[in-house]
Amino acid sequence: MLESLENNEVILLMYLADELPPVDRQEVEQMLAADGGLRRALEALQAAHSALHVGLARLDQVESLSNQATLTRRIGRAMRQHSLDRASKSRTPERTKVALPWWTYPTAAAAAIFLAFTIWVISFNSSHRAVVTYPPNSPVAIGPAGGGSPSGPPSATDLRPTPAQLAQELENSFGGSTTEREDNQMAALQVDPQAAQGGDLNE
Amino acid sequence: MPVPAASPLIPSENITDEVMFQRLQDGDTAAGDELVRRYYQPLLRYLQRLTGSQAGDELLQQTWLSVLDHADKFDPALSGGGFKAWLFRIATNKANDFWRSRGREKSAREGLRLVTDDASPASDQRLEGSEEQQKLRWAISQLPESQRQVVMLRYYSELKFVEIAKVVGCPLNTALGRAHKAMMKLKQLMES
Repeated sequence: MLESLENNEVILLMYLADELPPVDRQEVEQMLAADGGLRRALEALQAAHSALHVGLARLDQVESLSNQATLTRRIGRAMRQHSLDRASKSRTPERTKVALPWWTYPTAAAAAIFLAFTIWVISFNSSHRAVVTYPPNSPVAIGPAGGGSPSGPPSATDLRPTPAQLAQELENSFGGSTTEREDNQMAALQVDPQAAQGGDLNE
Repeated sequence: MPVPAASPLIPSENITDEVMFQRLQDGDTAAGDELVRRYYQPLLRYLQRLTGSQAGDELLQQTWLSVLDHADKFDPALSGGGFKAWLFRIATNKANDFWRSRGREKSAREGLRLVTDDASPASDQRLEGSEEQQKLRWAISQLPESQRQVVMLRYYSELKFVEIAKVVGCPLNTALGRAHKAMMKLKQLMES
């Protein structure tokens, strides 16, 4: 072991502490017998060691510690509480964290955008579609004779009115033929038809 | 390692620290109380000498709570010096944490001391005992932290230097060198 120690000071300290193996201890004693300087160094170290031990022992006697019973009880309580806390913590099932792959969030974001776009397209189409309401007994609502599927409900194509049907429908809704409509308009204006056609009002 | 069951026939003083600690790990709180009682004085004195303050009580409690926290890391077969060395290692770490947290305050205080004090025993320390004891207290406070740790570990834990080197985490030669320097410096300060 002596070979591993760097200098005489640490060798002497190990000797003084009685931590050298017997063989090394014997070797140090031979060195001490032969070297007066080493003996003096050992004596100085021994004196410092003794002074420190005696001094610390006296200091410990003078300096009072906290009440041992009180502090020991306090530490005991803290340890018991600590153990209880740890036990309850270990009983509480921890929330398992699911490790999601990296592409999860971009995919979810893309799906949300697509869904929002789809909803917007549907609502846009429905708000701009022309809504024509037909009376229940109109031929358009009933559909052409023999049209549609004989067994099932009429298809969207069957329900679509032809131009002639639309014209008829408009005529009906304005009340009569074109001539009748004109008469009605004149009556509403209370104007003589001849005057209205460019005749002299004084005649 | 088989742990002897707690028996009223075996006085607790005869049971080793390692067995007591194993019982504590198994939930025997009385074993914990016994360990705290066994190391109360040396551990508290050690912490007080290291920190030089009244924080010793708090650090002592923190040390024991840390013992519980790291109980699974203690291996009697691997830990040189057994439970005692492990306990003092935790206490040393707590003292180091304390020093780090107080580092700024300490620097400021030492700066002030340079201005107001001409290297005499600090007047703000608790004055108990004779003048010689006050001088020793002051001399200890003048040691570098690393040297103080080694000397106080040697005195209060009674561990071997080989074990002390492991506790403070340095080579044996370094630990011995620190102890030698500390003792010679203390002698010099006491004689001045």
